[in-house]
Amino acid sequence: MGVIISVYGGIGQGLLWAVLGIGVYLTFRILDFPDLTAEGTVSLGCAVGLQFINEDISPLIATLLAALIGIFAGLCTGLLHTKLKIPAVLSGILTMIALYSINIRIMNGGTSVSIQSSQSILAPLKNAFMDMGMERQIATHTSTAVVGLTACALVIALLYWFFGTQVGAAMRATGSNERMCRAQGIDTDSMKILTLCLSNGLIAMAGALVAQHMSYGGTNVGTGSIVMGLAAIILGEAFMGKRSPFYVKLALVALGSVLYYIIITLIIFYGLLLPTDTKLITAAMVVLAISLPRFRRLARIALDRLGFGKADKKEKFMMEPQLRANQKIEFKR
Amino acid sequence: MLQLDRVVKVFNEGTVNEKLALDGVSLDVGENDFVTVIGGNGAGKSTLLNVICGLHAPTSGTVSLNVDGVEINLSKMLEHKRAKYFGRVFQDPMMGTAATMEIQENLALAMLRGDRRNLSRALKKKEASFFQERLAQFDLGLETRMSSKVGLLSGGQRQALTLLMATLRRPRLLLLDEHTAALDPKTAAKVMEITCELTAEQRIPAVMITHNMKDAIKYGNRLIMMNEGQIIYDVSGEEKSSLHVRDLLLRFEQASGGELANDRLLLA
Repeated sequence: MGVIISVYGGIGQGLLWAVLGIGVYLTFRILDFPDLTAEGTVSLGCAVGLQFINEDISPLIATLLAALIGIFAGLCTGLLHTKLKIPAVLSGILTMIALYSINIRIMNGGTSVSIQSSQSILAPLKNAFMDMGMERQIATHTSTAVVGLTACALVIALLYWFFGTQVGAAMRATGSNERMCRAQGIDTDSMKILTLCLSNGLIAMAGALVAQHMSYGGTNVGTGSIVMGLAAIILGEAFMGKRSPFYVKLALVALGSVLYYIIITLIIFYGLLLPTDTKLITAAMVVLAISLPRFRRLARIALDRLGFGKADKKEKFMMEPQLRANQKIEFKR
Repeated sequence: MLQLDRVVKVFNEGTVNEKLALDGVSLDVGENDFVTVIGGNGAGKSTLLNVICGLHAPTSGTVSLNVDGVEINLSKMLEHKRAKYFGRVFQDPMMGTAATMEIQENLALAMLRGDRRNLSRALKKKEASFFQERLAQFDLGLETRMSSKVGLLSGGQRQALTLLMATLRRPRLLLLDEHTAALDPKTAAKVMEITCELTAEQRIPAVMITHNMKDAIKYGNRLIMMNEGQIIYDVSGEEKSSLHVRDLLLRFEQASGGELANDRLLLA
């Protein structure tokens, strides 16, 4: 029974973090820009959201304000990269490290802030569920899942609409082929900045939501978040078909985030490892997911040489682009 | 219509790798011109197109365009802003289209060349059928694959699509940078046929770089030969249409001081 409740909690957490996964998906996959700002932006979202709540601003508005402030972090990285020509990875790292100091300023010199759990966006829902006769823990988990699901649904709907517009299409094209875009009159610099703003807005929102769930947040919450987002994307992509519509892809990233949290919850629940080991597990998961196709191919070649090969030539040929797509995660520049 | 006035382009100025790519090029492309450009490697052909389209800013000199009687100085205008005047097709078939997007999405992007993009739908139903009609003209079977990803198309199909994208909104000038060089002879001929069809249909002036001397003579009404960043031969009309590959080789040898044309030119 205990394990089921824990996994249920993990699902809720996964849904809250899914907003981060979707934000990371925009930069990594659509723009093809490894944006490391995320680490700082998550903590920024935590700090801003919680501080506003401590100022007695409604948790919903505090969450939206956190998203708004997150946009500026993306703007900063975007300007560093496009106007000052700083390489993508370095631009993100610079903003991330600058945010560390800024976040501590926001938190009045501390490295973390906390709120009463009754102040969070989850509290009214949790109380309602408890009034309906749910047990305290189950009510907490249910409210987390409901808020997470709502946030994901809204974000996915908004992005699906946006990427179908003229500006959204120009953004996708910028990630696909920059030179062609400029030949078609698209200002690729603006499109990059816009994508980074959108992505970091979402990431800060995820930070604010997660912080409210924990009633606590600070500079350490963001650590490793970029790799976590990647893990969610890679897990989600395992279910993606080539012709999956865009909203399905985003939903699968959210599912990937949920799966990731279920795995982490189970590892911690059975006491296999310390909670602090999760970062190591996350890194290992990403490495494994990226290198798996390579190993599979090596195994197939070995089998072929030994005369056990099943795949005929055509099948192997068809396999190639997929393999290449899977390996396309390496950092550019 | 398009005027280049003593355009100089120096790459890596002040370093050991300094390279004078364009050495005071003056050129006037008329409203009815289809100019073919030939020359050896490093003669400055591609740089010429890149200075026109704004990829490179000229070191000195001006590029200007006459738009409906108004002279517009392009020298300070950014590449994506100039895009409304120029249609471009590159040598690399991968360069002109977005591989991860659908055929119709690519065309929808091209349909907005020069316009401000807003938050209305990128792909409208009415446009989609218009795109389909236009593609059907080429007889490549692309009209039935409107929602296929462009990455699945062959090089020739992609060049044909890029050509359509470049001319979907009539450009003031079409810039073709060896756009058939990466294709096999049969496909190259088909793409050239489409090029002629599209430019004739909308009366679009064009500048086409080619390594193929026969093509340079066969197509267009004017031929330019470049060497070491300068235009060394500019011929049009009667005189151009009566040219032979032999004449061009002779010209080239005279101009470049007796040097033989490079292998690619000879083999073409």
